[in-house]
Amino acid sequence: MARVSRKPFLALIPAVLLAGVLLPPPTLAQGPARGGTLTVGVQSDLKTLDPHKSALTITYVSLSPIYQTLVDLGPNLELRPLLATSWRVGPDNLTWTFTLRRGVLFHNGRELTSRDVRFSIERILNPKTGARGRGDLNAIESIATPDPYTVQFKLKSPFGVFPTKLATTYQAILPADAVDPVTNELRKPIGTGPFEFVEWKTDDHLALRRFDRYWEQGKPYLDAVVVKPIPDETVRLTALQTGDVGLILDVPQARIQDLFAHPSPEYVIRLVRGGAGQGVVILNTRHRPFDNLKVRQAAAYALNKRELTEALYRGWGHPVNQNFAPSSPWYLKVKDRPMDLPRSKQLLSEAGMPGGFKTTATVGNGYGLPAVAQVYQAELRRVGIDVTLQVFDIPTWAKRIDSGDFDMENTGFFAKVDPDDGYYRYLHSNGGVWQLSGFLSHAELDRLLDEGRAESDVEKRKAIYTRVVEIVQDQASMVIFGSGDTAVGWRATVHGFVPQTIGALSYPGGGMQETWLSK
Amino acid sequence: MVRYLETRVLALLLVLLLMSVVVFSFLHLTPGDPVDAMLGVEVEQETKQGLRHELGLDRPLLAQYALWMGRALRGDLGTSIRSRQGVSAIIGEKLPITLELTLAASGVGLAIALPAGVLAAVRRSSTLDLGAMGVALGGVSIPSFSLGVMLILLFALHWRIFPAIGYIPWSRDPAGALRHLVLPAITLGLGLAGALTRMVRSGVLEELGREYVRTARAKGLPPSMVITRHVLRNALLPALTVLGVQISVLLGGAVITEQIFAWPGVGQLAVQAVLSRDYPVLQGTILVIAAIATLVQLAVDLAYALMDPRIRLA
Repeated sequence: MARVSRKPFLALIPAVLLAGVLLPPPTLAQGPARGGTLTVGVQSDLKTLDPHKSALTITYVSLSPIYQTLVDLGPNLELRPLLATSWRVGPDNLTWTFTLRRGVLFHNGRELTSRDVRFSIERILNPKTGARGRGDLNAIESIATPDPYTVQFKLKSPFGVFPTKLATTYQAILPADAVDPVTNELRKPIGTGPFEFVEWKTDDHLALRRFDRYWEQGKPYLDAVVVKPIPDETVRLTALQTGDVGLILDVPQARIQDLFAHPSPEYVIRLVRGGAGQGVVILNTRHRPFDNLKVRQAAAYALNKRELTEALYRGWGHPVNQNFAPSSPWYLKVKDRPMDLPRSKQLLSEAGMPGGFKTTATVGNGYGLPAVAQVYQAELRRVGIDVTLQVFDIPTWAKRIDSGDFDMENTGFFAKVDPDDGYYRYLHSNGGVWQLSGFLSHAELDRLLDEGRAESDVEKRKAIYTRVVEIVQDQASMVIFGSGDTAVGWRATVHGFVPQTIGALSYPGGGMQETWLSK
Repeated sequence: MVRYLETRVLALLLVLLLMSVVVFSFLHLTPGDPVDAMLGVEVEQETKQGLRHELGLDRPLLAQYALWMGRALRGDLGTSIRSRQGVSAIIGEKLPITLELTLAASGVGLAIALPAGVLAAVRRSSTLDLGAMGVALGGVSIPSFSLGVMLILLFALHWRIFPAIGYIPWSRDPAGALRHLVLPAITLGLGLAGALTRMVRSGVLEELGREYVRTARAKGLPPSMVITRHVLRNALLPALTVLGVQISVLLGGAVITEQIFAWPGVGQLAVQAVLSRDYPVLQGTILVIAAIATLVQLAVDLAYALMDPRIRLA
């Protein structure tokens, strides 16, 4: 699989020196070798090579080696400098100034300047682009470029977490000349990343080769990366075991236990805490009887979070009561609601329904959602709540949920970076996916979410979001029950790769630019 | 002959037109659209609506069909919603890959079925016959998803003779291409061999009892010559029909095998197109497969005439 060509010894010296700083001691003895092709097995194919127009997570998985952003996220989703070396907010709390890294070249050989940043962000903000990242940047009023290495964003209102919104490949910085000015279409995939685009064969592979003038000195080590979509998870794992691919990003959850019990000398399996995001049961506050707080609380008291987590994450999850994994710095201390059947029944009586009631759950047929629905169906029956499951294929289900046409449903949320990300969109009455909190209407929540968004002091924000989690738990319309882990696997010949929680292939400090192959 | 061809081509066009209407209506009757499939539930409506507008999905259905049909008539099958690549180009890229697998599987099927069928007929009711028929029954009854996985377990994981998955073009690495082709071709070919062996056997048995065979034998022709020169030519007609049907089925129906071996052909393309509601790709793929299936049937009919001079196409 991996053809390793070794370059003259002298060429290795800077790489070895650099690796001494970044890599753990066992690999230091050997030092990163240069050359070779790494084939990476991923879940699905890209939809487009345009990072702004793609709305799917596969974007930052597969395109992150090509495109980079002003800032990016480290292994545990902590904010790190990338194309910007530093940033600060002015005394007005509205003007954010980013200083760009010097000497960064695009794959077409031209140097990155503030004009490219302005062009890219304006392209994302243009409604006609239909960019996934647009909603995150709505706060921008204007962009100024006082000199080639400085970008100033003027915001409409204070936004303490603005820099986090510039991370991930959705907010990629492209050279202005890579886009057709008339059609707004991407002419050629050009970025500043460690690898440049070679070819894309739909449903077969995306081929990338080392960008020799990449700005991180001496990197990347690999000659080429091939990203191969292998939708079937069993096939993907088999491909790793046979060596047809060198790295896979999603090891089937059901197989992790077995793989850890019987380790192989040929490949390594590594757990990624919180990588699978959070599981949630949603009760629609606009539909009877879930418009009644006591009924919602009664349902919440009847749920066994451990069982639901087990059903969704097959043993690789942890019960939680908030939209963050226990490994996240934003996991806040709020006592979880225990399962309490007598309390549940008492609440039902208080709501005037001592014998329970009938309701319907709208279930998507995919992502393990039906298994969770079967579990809560059984659990709720114990207090007399009789749930009929209506299962639909994913596009049909998505349509119903979007339009709020459900009594209850369950879904999964992606792993989150910042609490503004994790709560505002779902819980604020102006939130873009308000239906996912069952349209929970709560004045104090709205106020807290506005405050949390404007605030940049970490301790103050922790206090704000602790209160948010308490309210969400008490209101019981968005019952977050568990957080799941994922696992990645690589051949024993692959070194230097550190998995990132949301699964980007390339990111500062541990991605493809640090990865190398031994013979 | 010319008139016959004319009628057949007209019929072909009619079939394709009907197919296009049926496929288009069924696809759009299915709730949920490509945007819902792509973005799921955790995305703002504004983003979804923007994408719908850009893809032209917010226009009336009739307008969408007319637009698509107008372009299709000019040979332009439109653009994939998922990948934004030309549908003709995508199919042009995938079709040879599936054809390669189909031809290889037919080769495997024929290489097994011809000798096995003939031997089973000649040595009728012997252990050989029983064995060949047993294997044929197995070939027909073992579903490709279990056969494919078993082959991977044995040949890729246990003995490591062939790669488990993937495809390499012949132009890049002929040896690698062949190694990747073996397991999927056997998986598909064994099923085909099962059906064909039975047809060859019964065909040969039927012919063996005929008078011309007795004459040939009486002339003193060696038994091998009797079979190859006289019997097979007549016995193969029914087998050819089966082969024709099977090739059409393989072209569109190798879906499972392509999925197991990550073979990037038309089958995988169609499955992905359904799951992501990629209307243009699915419409284009079904049209092309239908066209080819009809053409293969035509070729089979023409081959009849060549193999049996008594059949005249009028």
